[in-house]
Amino acid sequence: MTGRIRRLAGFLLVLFVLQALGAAYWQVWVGPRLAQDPRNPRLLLAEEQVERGSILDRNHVPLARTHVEARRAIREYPTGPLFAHLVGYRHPRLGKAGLEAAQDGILLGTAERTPWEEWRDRALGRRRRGFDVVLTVDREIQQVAAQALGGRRGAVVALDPRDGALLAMVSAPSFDPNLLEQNWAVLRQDPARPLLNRATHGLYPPGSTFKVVTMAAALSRRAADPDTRFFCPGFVLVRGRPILDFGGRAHGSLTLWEALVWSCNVTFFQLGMRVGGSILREFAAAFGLGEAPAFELPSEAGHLPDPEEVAGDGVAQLSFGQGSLLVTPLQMALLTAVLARGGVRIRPYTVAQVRTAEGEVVERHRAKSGERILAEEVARVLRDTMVEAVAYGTGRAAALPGVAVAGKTGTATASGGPPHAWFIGFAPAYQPRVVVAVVVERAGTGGRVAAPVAREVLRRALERVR
Amino acid sequence: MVRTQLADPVLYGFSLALSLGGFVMVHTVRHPGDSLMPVGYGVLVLLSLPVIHLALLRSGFRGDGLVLPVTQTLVGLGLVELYRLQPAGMVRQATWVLVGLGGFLLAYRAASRAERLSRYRYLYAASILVLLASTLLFGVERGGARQWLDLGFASFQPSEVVKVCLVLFLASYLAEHHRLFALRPPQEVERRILVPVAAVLGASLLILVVQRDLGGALLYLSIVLGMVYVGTGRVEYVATGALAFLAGAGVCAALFPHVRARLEVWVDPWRDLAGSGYQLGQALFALASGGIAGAGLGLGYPELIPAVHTDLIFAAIGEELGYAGALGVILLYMLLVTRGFRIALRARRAFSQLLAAGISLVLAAQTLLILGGSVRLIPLTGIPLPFVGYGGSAVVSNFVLLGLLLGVSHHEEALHGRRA
Amino acid sequence: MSELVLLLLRYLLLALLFLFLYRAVRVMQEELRGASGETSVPPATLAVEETEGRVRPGQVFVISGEAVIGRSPEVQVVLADEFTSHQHARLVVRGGRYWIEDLGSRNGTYLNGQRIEAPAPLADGDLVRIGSTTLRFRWPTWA
Repeated sequence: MTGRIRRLAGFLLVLFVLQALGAAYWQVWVGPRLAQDPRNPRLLLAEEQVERGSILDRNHVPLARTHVEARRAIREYPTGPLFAHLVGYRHPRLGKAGLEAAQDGILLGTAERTPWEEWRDRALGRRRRGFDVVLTVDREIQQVAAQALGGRRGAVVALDPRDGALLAMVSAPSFDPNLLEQNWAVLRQDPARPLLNRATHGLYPPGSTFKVVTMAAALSRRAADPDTRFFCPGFVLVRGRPILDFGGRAHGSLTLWEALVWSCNVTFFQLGMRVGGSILREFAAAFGLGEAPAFELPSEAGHLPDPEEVAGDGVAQLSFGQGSLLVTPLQMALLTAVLARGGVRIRPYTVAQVRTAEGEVVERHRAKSGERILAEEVARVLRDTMVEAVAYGTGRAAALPGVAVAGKTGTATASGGPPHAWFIGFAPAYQPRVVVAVVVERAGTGGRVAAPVAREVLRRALERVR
Repeated sequence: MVRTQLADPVLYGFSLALSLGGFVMVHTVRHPGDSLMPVGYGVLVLLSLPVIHLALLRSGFRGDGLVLPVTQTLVGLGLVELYRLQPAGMVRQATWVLVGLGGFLLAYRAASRAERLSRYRYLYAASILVLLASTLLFGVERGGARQWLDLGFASFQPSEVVKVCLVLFLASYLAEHHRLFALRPPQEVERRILVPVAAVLGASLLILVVQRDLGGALLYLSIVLGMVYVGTGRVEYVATGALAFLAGAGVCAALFPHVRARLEVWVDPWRDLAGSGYQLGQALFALASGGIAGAGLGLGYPELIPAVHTDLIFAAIGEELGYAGALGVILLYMLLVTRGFRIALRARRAFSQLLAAGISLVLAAQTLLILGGSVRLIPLTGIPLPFVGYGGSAVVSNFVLLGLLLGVSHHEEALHGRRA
Repeated sequence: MSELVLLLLRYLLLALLFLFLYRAVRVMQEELRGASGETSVPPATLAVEETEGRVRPGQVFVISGEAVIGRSPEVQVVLADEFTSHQHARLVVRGGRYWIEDLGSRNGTYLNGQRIEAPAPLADGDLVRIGSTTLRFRWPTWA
């Protein structure tokens, strides 16, 4: 019998070893991954132990902050709907969005900590304070931009072209992140899609604002110069379909820069044919279209037409920004910033500083120089032409007294309804401090609808940004 | 110095320091400012184990010297973790430990005269039948399983008594027939073994279906199969019994949705994480969150697991003491079971051997069933982790088993003029 | 409670758990050594000095390692003395020397006239009384 007792004991001890391995599987092998599973309620509970850092604008006006009430941390957004898309929200059940999601680790203070501090606080279960984030945006500019949109659907992006600092990012309609829980069901089903950040995720055809790219490509490849003459009979037939100027007006004989000032589609079709679809597409890509901008918030890449699509006279739609080309307002602001910078791309950013609660700066944004994609000469010609467009042409509504504004309007055909109104521009034209891109959905022409919005934003921004 | 002469003081020192440190940490983190009375009570109860050990030695105890220190460490860990989860539950559990120690001493006395213990075999069999039948008829449901008897003034789990009676019965029955099995013709042997095996098998399936007590069913089955193997060495009966149970369980799963639901949760707890998979899912999250060194006593979130103090205290230990603590607990059980089997191996008489082996088997099987359920090696059952998990009936019955084990140990060593 | 103490406690608890396990394993190892290794000491003798039982005075028992003394015919030192228990006492080797230990006998074990409660070390020439029999322990150390 002793042999059998030994064997039974051995068998059971082997089973114990299996248990030890089973526990090791969950605790050591898959443990680190499973512990971070979003369904693990400990993650949220651990977060509640942290006093989340504030999000501040460039003048340290709080946009999001946490205050503790009856041992519970409450997140509040003093500016309400104004920064709802950029700052986002953080809700225990509804999740996180915007910078609240993108800067989560910093706001919670898990990033930027020495392992010793992390280990000590965890070991002691100590409530700790996350880092504050200081943004580049300005509440005043944002306010003006939101007011200028005046309840219409659309987006405004304003940047400082000198270093890529975001000054304002408005998406309308907006929502109040303080009332998220009450309004959640309505917000999710609203056809106006208030939860969508149109500045980074709204996809629109750029319309005539894209003509600056066509012109840049033509000048760079010497397919034309500003004084090259074109003839506009008012329409041209491509594959049996007419291409019209807006309003169907014939411009007659005109130079290239006049064509941009007056936004002549027929001329730009001819120019596009001279440049060729694949080169035009290359330039669009060089300006950052069709790629997701490197920004603190995840952003849409938009859509560039396939090379086959723009071959031959397929270039027609692309040359004045129609067809399958889709862009976001942020991309258009960055495109405009290239012209403001004299042909160099910029990297946009909005987190200027990461600070401790005591105000000690932990991390500061470092600007990186972007790549040159246009010769300075080409950028100068485009700038001068855009100044003319605001002074005399389609963009007159964006003009400011005493400041040269460079700009380009766009009126993008939208299926089944009035067109999207676009305006891109910068000021002061000869020493730019502010770049702006405006889109107003299904609202009319760029010159009449979007240009005045841009004017208000530029006016306020030039006062605020020195 | 003669070490085995005394309970090893260093061993008890480590054990008590561990419990005391655990109490201090939990108190500081979870209940600062609360009364220290519960902690004092818990420590006093823990101290009674070395006191009993010393008293036994004074009266000439020469049995195993490691079983009690290891048990004390397990009880201590359990009380500390219960204090963290439910201070009032810890106090109740500590009282049950005291009751269990009383049972331990009675059982120890009884087992010191092992021959007499083996005489009451049909009393054990009768008690098993009465208890099982009364549970089936009058059982009260708690936490999904109908395994409680309400006596009006108190309620208890008859399965805990059945477990003890089953081991005693089988040890006695198999010991009586020990010689017989080797000599008699195969048909007669078969009949003699098959009767208890088939009876327990049938009862297990009945328990599974009617009481929804998968843990109890598996426990009875492993006791009978393990002890039949030790008593007779007939592997074919063990294999047949195991296969028959598997087949029966399969049929039950096909027929009864509640049995099937249990199996589905085991196969994929993530699919219905908010519903039926919640308990197991939370336990696995707890284990995963513990990592290697654990969150620290009182610093994890084991209270998120439903029924954590009874069924899943291992997950709570895994979360707060990490894999290091979980492995330590598993090693403690390995030590305890090894000592139990060592007692069986050192015993000279068949009944003592079978009883000691059977007790070790029960302790091991309970531990393996609930640990396996906690780490998803097998379906989760509602067996409390011996000496650690919350459960009055369980703690008392396990101490009774321990008393029998040490009684056998002492008796056998004294008989042969040895010291364990 | 200072934070540092808690911090240390957290790891101290795990350390204690494993110290306990280590110690338990050490105890088990010593048991094994005690059972095999330590019996290899020079043999000793027990010579019957006087007795009321049916034991021949002058009889010498040679002891090597452990030995149980009692009335039972199965033990190593059989004393046919009705005042002796079946397993009365035993000699064990610990720490390189012999010890006498009572096995819970009815009449007790006496070393040089003193009843022993706990195992006691034996020296050459000691008198051990078991039941009515007195034995002289001889363990000459030649070193």
